[in-house]
Amino acid sequence: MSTPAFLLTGNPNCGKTTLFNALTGARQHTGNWSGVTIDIKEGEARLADRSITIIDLPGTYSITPKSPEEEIALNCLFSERAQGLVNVVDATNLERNLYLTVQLLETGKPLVMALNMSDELESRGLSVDTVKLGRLLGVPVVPTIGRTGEGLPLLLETALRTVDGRMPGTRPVLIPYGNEIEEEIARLEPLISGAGVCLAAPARWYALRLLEGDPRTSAFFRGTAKGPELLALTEARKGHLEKIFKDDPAAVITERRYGFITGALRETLTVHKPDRVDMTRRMDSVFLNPIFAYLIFGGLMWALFLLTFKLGALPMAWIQAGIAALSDLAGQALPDGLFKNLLIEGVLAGAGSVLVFMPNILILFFGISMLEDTGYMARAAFLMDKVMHKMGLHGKSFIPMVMGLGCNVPAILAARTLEARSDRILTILVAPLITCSARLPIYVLFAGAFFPQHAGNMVFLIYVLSFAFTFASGLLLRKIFFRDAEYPFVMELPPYRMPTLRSVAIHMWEKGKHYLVRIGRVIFVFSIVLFFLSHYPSGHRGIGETYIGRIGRAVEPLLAPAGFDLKMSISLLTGFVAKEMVVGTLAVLYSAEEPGEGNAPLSDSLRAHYPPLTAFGFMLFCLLYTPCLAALTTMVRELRSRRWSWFGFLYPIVLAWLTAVGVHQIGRLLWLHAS
Amino acid sequence: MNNPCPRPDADCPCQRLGDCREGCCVRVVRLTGEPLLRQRLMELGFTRGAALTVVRYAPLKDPIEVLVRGAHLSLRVGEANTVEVAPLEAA
Repeated sequence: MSTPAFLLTGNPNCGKTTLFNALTGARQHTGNWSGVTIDIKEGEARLADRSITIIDLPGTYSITPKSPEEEIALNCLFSERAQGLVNVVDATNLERNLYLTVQLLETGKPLVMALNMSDELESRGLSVDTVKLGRLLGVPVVPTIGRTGEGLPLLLETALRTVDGRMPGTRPVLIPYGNEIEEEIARLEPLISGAGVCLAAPARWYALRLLEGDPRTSAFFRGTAKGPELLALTEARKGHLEKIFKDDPAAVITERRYGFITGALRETLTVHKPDRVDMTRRMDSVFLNPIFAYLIFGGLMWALFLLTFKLGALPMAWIQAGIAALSDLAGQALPDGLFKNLLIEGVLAGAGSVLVFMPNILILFFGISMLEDTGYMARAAFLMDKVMHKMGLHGKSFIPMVMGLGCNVPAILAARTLEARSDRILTILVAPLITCSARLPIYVLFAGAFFPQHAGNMVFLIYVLSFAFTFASGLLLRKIFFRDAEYPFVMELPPYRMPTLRSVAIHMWEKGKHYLVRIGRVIFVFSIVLFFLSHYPSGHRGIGETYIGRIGRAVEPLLAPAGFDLKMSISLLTGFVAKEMVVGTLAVLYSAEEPGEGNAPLSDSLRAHYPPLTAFGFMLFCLLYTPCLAALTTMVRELRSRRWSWFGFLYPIVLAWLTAVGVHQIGRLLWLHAS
Repeated sequence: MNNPCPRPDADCPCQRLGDCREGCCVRVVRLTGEPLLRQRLMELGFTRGAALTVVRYAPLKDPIEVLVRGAHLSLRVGEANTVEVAPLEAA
């Protein structure tokens, strides 16, 4: 018999992912469903000597999908892929969690409920009669503790027995919707059964979906023989129900579901200490306190930042030293020639530029995972939403934005925490406008060279402008592209929980691996390409004669209105690969120019060649133009859309060009260029 | 279910959730928002007659934290204004 597969489904924050990790450990990978690489994780669980496939569907509050991931989840539900469902339910939040359960029960699929976080019941003064609950719902209920792995073998065994039909007490349960609705269901069922189409669920389920006005179900029947008749009848009966209830039938159906749940819980849930104030409420009175909230939030952000970039600096230095050592070794061991240069300046430099980010990325994602898994992230969104909303973004967009100050790559990856596609796209598009730490050397160099008295203020001005451009872009793009897609902000504030180290580690490693493999590959290749472009045709005629020089010359006229010359154009081109290269390239170009004069400081050379106005324009251009290759690659992968990827590539360039040209031309008009 | 009300005697004449003060305990009368919002709210427990407690407003006065069916949710004031409410009758 082939490996049995189960879909793991449940509300967000029910501990489903922790449970999944406990079941599958390292034996998990990202599934590929119908050609779309959406992050649905699949893993292998073991029970004695048996292998069981577990598919982790995204957390959802109800079967009706509101995002591409939830759509895929719904399709998975009805595909032949899995034999049964494991519904993970947060024991401390039963009432709301059971809503999804009730919907799943109605699909008729074999189901087992994992009553997760059952250890927290006692500390909250609650107790659940799991046997009775199972009887009322007609499915087995297995208490589990995802954190420790308790109850999991029993869960797997129960799941297998349920699917094999060997689980006593399993029965289909009909939620009573009241006479009026039951009448209509009875009217629709015969037409549904006789529609001549293969039904994946009981007719009753389809009837309810039609009465709820689900467009997907209507579309499903539209093409069938009896379809038009069925749909016409549905409309008529819905109208009838609306008149009786003075409300949408969907609302009444939802109400009745909750009524059933309330009834079931009245018999099975006991509250021993009704007046307990739990830990979460006490912590929230501090974390969301009007006085302390922002101080604490600011402190945590600063700590995250510090941790990522200061702590990460140490391993970063090791990696750089390692690469340098390897380069030296290659320099001594290999004969001069193409291969040696390629190895050192192409391969090693390329690999180095990728690896060097790894510590930062890993630490950053450790931090973000901690914030998310403890539940604090929701509080951060709660605190920042008002500001973010004004920018056309979501409260949860704040963390990615702050991350962007260090490096745009994790910022773009962090946008995954946003549920709505529109929020995600906007955040990703706007993230590169946040000035990352790689651009700082450019500002420091130019500010120091051209505005020595006000260098600090100039750099601060750049940061302020970065924020202004981000804000304005968010608003603009929201108004142009997503005006109507006002996705509800409604968000849960889950109880504070201590995540397992294993969960956080898995979380962290996933993201790190993604970066290393996908993005690393691209950067590596491009570094080698850049090597060839900058060294050929060879002959020591200066960089202007190489391929990159020729490209630079082709681009130069486009940048002339901004006051940029050939050397600046070439550096901006290399800046495409990594922003850190801009300063390096300028240094190489100017030192090559005056070989005899020894090492004149770059700032002197710059001051001699450009007016301050152009310098300012250059700084702005570097601030705004298309992000480095790593960020661009990340962006393309996260956006998953060719259209948006092109936009994400062109928007910053166009914005940068307009700004730099504007500054230069207006400045000239005002005679500011006469330094 | 038991949503113990912290201030059962508070005077809460608010007719929309977004107008209710901190500590108000009310019940849902109807939802007047866009279909997507209505659906989301209903699924999360904002059904007719459901008990709601306004836990707090964010420091910037937006969004609002609401206790519904034992869970804490946050909604923007604009969204909360699509929830028509009435005082909760004494249990």
